[in-house]
Amino acid sequence: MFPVEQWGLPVSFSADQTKLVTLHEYLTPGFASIPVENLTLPQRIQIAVQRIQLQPESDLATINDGILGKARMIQEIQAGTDLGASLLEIEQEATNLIIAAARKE
Amino acid sequence: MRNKSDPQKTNHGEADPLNAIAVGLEANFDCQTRLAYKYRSDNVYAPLLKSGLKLQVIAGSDDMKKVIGSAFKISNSNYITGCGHGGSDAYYGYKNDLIFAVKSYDRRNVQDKIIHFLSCRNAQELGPDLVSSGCSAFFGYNNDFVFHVKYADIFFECDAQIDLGFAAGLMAEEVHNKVIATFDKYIQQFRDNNQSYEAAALAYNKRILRSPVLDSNLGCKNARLESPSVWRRALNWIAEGLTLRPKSTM
Repeated sequence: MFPVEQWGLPVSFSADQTKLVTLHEYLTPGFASIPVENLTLPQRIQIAVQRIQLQPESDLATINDGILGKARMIQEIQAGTDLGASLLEIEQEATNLIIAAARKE
Repeated sequence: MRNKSDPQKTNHGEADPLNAIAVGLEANFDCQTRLAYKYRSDNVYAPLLKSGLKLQVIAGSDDMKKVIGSAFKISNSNYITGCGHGGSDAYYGYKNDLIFAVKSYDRRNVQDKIIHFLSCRNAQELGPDLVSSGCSAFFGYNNDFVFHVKYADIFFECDAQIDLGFAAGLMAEEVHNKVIATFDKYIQQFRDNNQSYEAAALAYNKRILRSPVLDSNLGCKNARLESPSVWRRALNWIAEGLTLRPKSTM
């Protein structure tokens, strides 16, 4: 079953780049938003950070660091570390999968 | 030095490393390496032993360079697997004791061996360095290996296909394909269950997996672990040859 809480989480920016756009808005016909594939790096970082902040604590871990936790994940992404880049990549891929699944709902 | 009553220092299989064909190096000291060791103990080392492979697992506080160094030099192992912390240029054991670092190990410990580390970033520099020192094939990851704790077994199972594949006598290329197929199977399962974060994390690990199939500087695609029976056969042939030679030359 599609996780309903995802509808209210940000996935992109409005076409005028002034505000975050939720999944529900993004998939609403006629709603002017930036296609996710066209987002800039700073925009992708802002969306990823927001999504992490708005969701429950994650049990994502690495062999080197164990469970990262939301604060560490956000810190790494914002600092642009190698780990942060990996976390951003995972967050984006998950978001793309969620959008694809939502389109089928 | 090994205390068999300490569960952190569990010693599987042959006690004498002289007879070891495969060596497991398990850091086993923090939550994540303990979790991985628990999985690998049941699902990698137990099947490896069952397959007839002679195996020496060096875990916990034994997984330190000063302890394993001498054992390695005299070991006739031809397969090294392990789980520990990693950097681009180093693999670490118990409490981050340095085990292998670029240009800082005895070449005899890696020559003609297949090496697989479930660790972060080792495929960047350490893997190519081990191969340049004679390691026949290296499997590892070029960035941080990630996992969701709740589904750790699935993440470790994908990686375990490397060890199980080599133990089954597969070539490096076949092993790589088996690992990718396992990743794909579980990625699809997670997607089908709308578990997008788990699917994305597993897909990420799949992308950072490195092997001789993807990087020629990680060894030979045709490398395979000779099974004990093959070794025995080879030794028999040599023994027969030695016996026959004097007769044939007379």
